[in-house]
Amino acid sequence: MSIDNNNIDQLFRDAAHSQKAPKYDSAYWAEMNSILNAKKAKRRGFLFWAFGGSIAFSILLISLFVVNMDLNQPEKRYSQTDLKDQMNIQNSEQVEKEITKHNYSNKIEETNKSEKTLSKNMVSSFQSEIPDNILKKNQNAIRVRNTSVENSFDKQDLTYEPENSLLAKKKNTSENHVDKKSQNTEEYILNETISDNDYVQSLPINAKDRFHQESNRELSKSLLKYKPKPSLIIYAKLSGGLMENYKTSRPYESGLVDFSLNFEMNFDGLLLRSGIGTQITSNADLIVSKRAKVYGLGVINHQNDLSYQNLFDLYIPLEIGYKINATSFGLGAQANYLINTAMDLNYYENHNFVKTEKYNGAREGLNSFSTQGYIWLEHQFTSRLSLGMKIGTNISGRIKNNDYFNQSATTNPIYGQFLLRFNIIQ
Amino acid sequence: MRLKQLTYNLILLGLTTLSFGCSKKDLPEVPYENSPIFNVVGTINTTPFEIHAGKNDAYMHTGLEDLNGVDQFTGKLSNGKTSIDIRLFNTNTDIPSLYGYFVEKESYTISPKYGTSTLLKISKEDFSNSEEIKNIVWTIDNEKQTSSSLFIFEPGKYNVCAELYFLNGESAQTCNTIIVGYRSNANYSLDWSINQNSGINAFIKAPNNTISKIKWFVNDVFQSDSSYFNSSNTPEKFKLRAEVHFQNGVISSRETFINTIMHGFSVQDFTIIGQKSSIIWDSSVAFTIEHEGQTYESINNFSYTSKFVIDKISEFKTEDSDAKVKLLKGTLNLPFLNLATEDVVEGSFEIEIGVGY
Repeated sequence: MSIDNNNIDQLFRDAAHSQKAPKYDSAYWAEMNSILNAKKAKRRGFLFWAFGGSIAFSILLISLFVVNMDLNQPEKRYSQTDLKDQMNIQNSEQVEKEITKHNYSNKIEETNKSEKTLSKNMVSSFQSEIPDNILKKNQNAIRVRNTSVENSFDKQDLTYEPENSLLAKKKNTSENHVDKKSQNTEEYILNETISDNDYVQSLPINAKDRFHQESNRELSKSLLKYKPKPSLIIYAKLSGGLMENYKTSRPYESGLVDFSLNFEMNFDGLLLRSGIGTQITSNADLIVSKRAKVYGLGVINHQNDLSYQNLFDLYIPLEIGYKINATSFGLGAQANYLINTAMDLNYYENHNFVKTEKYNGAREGLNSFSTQGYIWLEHQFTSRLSLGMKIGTNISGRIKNNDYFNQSATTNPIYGQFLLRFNIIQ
Repeated sequence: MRLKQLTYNLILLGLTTLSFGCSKKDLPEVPYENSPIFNVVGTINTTPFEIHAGKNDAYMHTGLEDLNGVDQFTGKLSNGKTSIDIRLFNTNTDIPSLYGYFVEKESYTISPKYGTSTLLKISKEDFSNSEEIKNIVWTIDNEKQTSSSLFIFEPGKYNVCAELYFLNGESAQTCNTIIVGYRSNANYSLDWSINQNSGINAFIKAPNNTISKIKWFVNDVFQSDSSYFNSSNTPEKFKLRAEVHFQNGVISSRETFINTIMHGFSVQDFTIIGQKSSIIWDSSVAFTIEHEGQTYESINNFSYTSKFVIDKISEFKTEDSDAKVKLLKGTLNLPFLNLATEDVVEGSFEIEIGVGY
């Protein structure tokens, strides 16, 4: 069974020559070229969105802090710290001692035993410790908080918990120390104007506890936990932006506009939103195709390209987020129901374009339901108007896996939108 | 109040959009996929032969091809290297209303080979006044022939003109249509005589067919449509033409040249003279196969035993073309002639082939 090298070589040569050489057809190369170009476009699209998306996300994140950064923060922090430090004295058993120390017990006795009245008196008591000039500047703010206290012990309650660092300081706090800080604060904020609203909005404090008083001098924490009342806002939202083109995967070739009516529930900063809306995707170039090889005198490779240009969806969004002062951000998802389309039906025979017909309402090759996911950021500029942006992508694709096959470069295009929100009922 | 109105309008807009989504026009379906329609599979000289239209660049070409004035129904299934060619000969070539009609049969006789033997020969001696004739110049379909005798080797429908040069220096010309190799549906002749007053009596001899109408022309001018043509008011020399309509649909013309003074210098109806082959090609079929560099032709030894047996004939329609195509399905078992080696080999095929018509 030994065959020398020459024989083996000859065997291969003979075998090669006995077979027909593959025929060169320029159409095959053109097809391969288009596939390679599509892959390149896809790669470019991915890089664009990866890079662009990172930048956009960074901008969103930075803007979140920039928007919320108050340039007057040092002054406020000092003033707030001062106030908070004093207020936190009440946060434990020291409350009673402090009341005793400042001889406010009579006032407490005289006042109603209710927590509401107590709070007023406590605030009054603190006023004695707060330098006059600070007090004057912050009276309104305190008044605002007291108003809410009167209603329901709302979030600007009497008891406050400082930042961790401040809490550490508080444990070693003496009256002198407090006074010293007050003096420093006084020096610092002299001739500075801080509006009441700014003060209220920028206070980094959270409502925590309720107080309960059973008898004179017996002030203690209430067992009832503080539960702020959730707010409900009904608003309309108009969004518009750009989307990757399905066919080319290029970012700026398709448009995405949607309008929705929503409601928002605010659970102490935690936002939950939903509603209903319509969404229009324009110039989508979402192409699904069907082919048929039909033999006759020769063979004709028929291909019908359903090039969906415009897609009209009805959708239900669901968003969760968090609100920090006037800025909110979060995640969202929406379920789309495709209600209408505008489509170009392109006919090809043996890869040659034959004709185009326009159709409306076709859904062949598409799912009726699809979903999108996105991140969003909003900033409230007035009581009614907010502006924001969102970036998202399709989660479950629009293209149905049936008789039609996908000719698109991307199935889940990424999009970016600016949004305008108008609070209708709040 | 305005906010409520705005909300109402927005809901209305949404509902309108929804209703807009209800209108829909049905999409046209992509044509159904199928398998090749035109296929020929078999062996030639024991070598496998297989070709399918649409595969390996094979294409079924169909059409009508003119062969000497008569259309043939043809088809060629070819991929450039391997091919099978079919040509079906027409019939009823002298009946205008039936000419070109594809006659469907259970089998088609294999065409005899043509081109090697004379199908029609007319020489000077075939004319009744040959002793007065010096020379004849024949023209076939406007092509002047070099021989003084007419030779036709291929079946067809020819327009033949004979220009007779007489010994006295005079000449005369007549033209007639001669059908060679196809069945004639009406046999007749144009005859005439000169009476004592130099008047002419012309008539049609058609013993086996019924004539429905005859039109008489003198020098291409219509004279009458009577059964006979009697006239004493004719020129001394003239061309007499009769257009004869038979009840079976045949329409045919015959032309003679008449010299009323010197009868010997006339030209008789030359379509009925000469030596004519009895071989006919009506509705016969010929196959030519190219395979592995060899060309084979179907052969018939004039015994008409070789046949293309038909299983089914159907219409093949295409949306893309107005061409009319018949799809013939059948079997072929017959001898083929290798044109290069002149060897006769056996061919056996299952055929699904198209012909234009």
